[in-house]
Amino acid sequence: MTKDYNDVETALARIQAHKGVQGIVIATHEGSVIRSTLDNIQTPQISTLVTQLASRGKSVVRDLDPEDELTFLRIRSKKHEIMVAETKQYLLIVIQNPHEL
Amino acid sequence: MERTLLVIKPDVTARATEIIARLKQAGYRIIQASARLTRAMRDDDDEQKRSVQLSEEQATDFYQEEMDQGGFAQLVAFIISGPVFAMVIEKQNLFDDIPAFVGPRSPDIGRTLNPDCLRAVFGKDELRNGIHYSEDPVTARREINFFFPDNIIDPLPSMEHAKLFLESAIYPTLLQGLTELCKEKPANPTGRFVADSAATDIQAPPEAAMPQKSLSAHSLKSLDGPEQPAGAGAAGGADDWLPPKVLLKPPGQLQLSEKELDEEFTRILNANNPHAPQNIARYNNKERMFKASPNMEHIVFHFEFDGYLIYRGDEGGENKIEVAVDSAPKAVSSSTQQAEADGGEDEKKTSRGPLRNQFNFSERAAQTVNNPYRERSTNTEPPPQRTYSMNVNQWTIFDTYSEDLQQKEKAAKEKSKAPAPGGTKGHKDEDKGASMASDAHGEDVYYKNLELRKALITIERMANQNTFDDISQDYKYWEDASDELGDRKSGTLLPLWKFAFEKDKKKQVTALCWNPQSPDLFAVGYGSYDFSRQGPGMIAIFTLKNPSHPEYVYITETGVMSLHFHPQHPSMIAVGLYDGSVLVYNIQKKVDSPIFKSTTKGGRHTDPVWQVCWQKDDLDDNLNFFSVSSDGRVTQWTLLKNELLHTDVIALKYDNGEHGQNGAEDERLFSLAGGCCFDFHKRVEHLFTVGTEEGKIYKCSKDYNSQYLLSFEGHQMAVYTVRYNPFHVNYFLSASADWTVKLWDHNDSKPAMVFDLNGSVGDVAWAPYSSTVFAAVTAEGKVFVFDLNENKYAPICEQQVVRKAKLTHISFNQFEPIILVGDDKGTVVSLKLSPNLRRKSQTPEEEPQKLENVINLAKGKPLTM
Repeated sequence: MTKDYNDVETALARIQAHKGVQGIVIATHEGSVIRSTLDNIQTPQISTLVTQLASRGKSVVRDLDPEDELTFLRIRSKKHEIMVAETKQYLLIVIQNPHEL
Repeated sequence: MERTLLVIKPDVTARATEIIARLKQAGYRIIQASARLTRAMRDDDDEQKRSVQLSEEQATDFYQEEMDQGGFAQLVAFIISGPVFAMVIEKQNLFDDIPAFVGPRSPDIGRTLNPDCLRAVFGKDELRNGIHYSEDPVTARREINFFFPDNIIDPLPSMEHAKLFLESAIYPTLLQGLTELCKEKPANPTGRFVADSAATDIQAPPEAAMPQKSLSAHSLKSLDGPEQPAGAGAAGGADDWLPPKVLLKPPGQLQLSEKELDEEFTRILNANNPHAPQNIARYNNKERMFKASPNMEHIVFHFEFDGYLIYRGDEGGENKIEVAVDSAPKAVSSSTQQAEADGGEDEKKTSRGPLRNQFNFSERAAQTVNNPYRERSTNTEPPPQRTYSMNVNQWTIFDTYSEDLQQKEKAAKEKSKAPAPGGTKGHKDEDKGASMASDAHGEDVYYKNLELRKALITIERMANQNTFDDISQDYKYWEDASDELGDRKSGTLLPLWKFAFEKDKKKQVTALCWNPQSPDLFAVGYGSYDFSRQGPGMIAIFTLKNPSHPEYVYITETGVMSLHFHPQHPSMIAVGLYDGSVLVYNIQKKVDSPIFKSTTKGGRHTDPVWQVCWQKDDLDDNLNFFSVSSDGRVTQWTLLKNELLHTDVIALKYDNGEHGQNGAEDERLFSLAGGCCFDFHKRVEHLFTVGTEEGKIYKCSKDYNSQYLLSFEGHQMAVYTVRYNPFHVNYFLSASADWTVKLWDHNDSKPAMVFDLNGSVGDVAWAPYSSTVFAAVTAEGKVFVFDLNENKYAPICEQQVVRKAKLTHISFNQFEPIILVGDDKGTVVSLKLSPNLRRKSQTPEEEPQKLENVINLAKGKPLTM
């Protein structure tokens, strides 16, 4: 168990240490945050907004083909790239600034 | 015309006739009097009969207005002391005249003011003043009502009402009758007849006529002629108060002289209608001839009118109305029926049920108490409400259906299993609960979620993709433009990602191997070639998608010397270690330990294992691999179910050391040559070549473990690599520390070609796409790429890749134009080959021939095309 935990934590730390990565949020599909490296202001904002978008995106994919499944979502903006990885239970959200390289 | 009630009080009833005479003289008309009085006046009967005896109550009631005045009791006592006469009198401007005519209440004052007034004449004192009358119309109405409850004081009809009535009821009839008469123009004068009949109508006494009759007569009279009160007074007698006879004269009436008027005409009234035709003939079908019809209608209705007036105060008003309506006699005007009709009405009046006493009657009615309405209501508690809303998408429907399908299948399965003993069922349930609980527990902790870990990996890769975006672009799209220029005989290598595992800066890259299935996955073995710097080794499996961190890491006890992915089972890695043991890892297993490990007991090598190589599965379909070590043995390892079985294939002996073969055990041991590398023939399974530390190269067979098939001249120093060409199976390359790479035909002990690279050659590898391209790395940190088809003597690319480091290994990717080079600082660099470095023949079939041609040329043999 601790090994699992350490693995995940090191992976999170590694991603966080990446250039340009501003934060990682693990949230459920309902928007409740499980783990976050962002501050208390950004975290709920990100979690609520992105989960909504992700569920919408999921709907789109599933509506086009019900057997398909959304796995990854990238939003490239002027300042950031928001990356969302979908799993059955959780959403893994990473905010990266690719220009900060 | 105004009316009032006049009562002759008990003290003067004896002189009633006198008073009535005076009234008439003064122009008052008596409309109605108490019935007895009326009769009395007609019949002149005795006095007792013409009077009305009031009871005390009635008297009190009558004088109620004066109840609060003094002397009321005496007044009542006086009025009931004897019978009274009551009458209704009528006169124009009556209420103006009558106070003077009757006089003030006190006869004494009256005598002084007007000695002729009635009270002055008949009254004795204020109480017994003889006469009572109603002084104003309101009192008059009440008092008349008291004595004559069935009297109707109808208001004078207004002009409009009268007109309306005449127009609707009288004129049409009159008009019809008159016009008919005019049309008939009978021989005898009709004016008289009409006048007579009209007079007859009017003559009917008002009290005997039905209300509507009196009305019609009344209105006719009031319209048709002026009042003639003078005539009435002149007539005198008992009948004088009756309305006088008035002859109506139509305007166009014949004027007759006195003589003519006196002339007598005898007329007989009969029932024949003078206007009925008497000569009507009808055709009789029976007798077939016209016959005079005998029956004539002799009744003529001149006027028919249903009355609407009834006596006021009568009992059973409703019934009365019905009766009155039903029995309302039609105004039958026939020359003979007039009298009969009058008589009939009288009869009807008398036959009307028992008359009630008008003065002594009370009606009683009782009503039970009605139960009050009661309202009773009950409120039930409203059923609970809940608002529920949801969006339904196509995929939610799909999911629901598939879930339902699964459940149905499950249910069907369980049904087929249904006849299970009850005892196990409970147990099963428990199991289920337990497993569910553990599941829930597992799901609760986010870091145990495998999907999340996969997502983490993906995210990391994506972050890396962003970080190394330019490199990714180069990897995919960059082609060196300079290759198109010049003689196209030189190319370049573009450095891409660098892979380094932070933990092991001091480790050297001792092995490199691409995964045969995933084009982006490769394993790197870390260890050390330096005897003094040995330590734990490591295997890191990287992917090009994540240069910053390996996907898998395995720590080994000693340095890794070699590793190899199984070509058919890409998750299996065979590893050779510095201490001579071999390991097998399965990267699909989530464990950090090897699945197989050689033991000292089980034939472990005693020196570093320089190379491992998987072979085809044996006859029992067991996986097996070969290893070569500097202890002089080549060993086959077979993976059984739970053990690693070893078979020594060959012991490498010095070719020329014959004493070794016959010598003692120790000598034999020392006489063994240290194997450094080997490679297997691509076609002939049992053939392989081994390079040794001493620089010799031997061709061996798995089947003959006693001797070599062929001994090559070899190198001056240790042979690091031997590689068969993937296209032309008989040629192989060898790389050695003596700065050379040699190309051999494996049937020839002398090299076909020799390339000097000015440095210790760490590794050499054939390109997978062309038979004539190979690459080598040297300790100088250079990579050499040869294309023998282009240049047999010099490399087409010689590039410094790392500085201050020795390159140890090189590996071509099977799918992409990428090579990996590893150095002794623990770094692996990926390089992209420029287009010139990866030219190939049009078809793969030409490739072996290409190499053949090159070698033949080098040997000075003629080309075989």
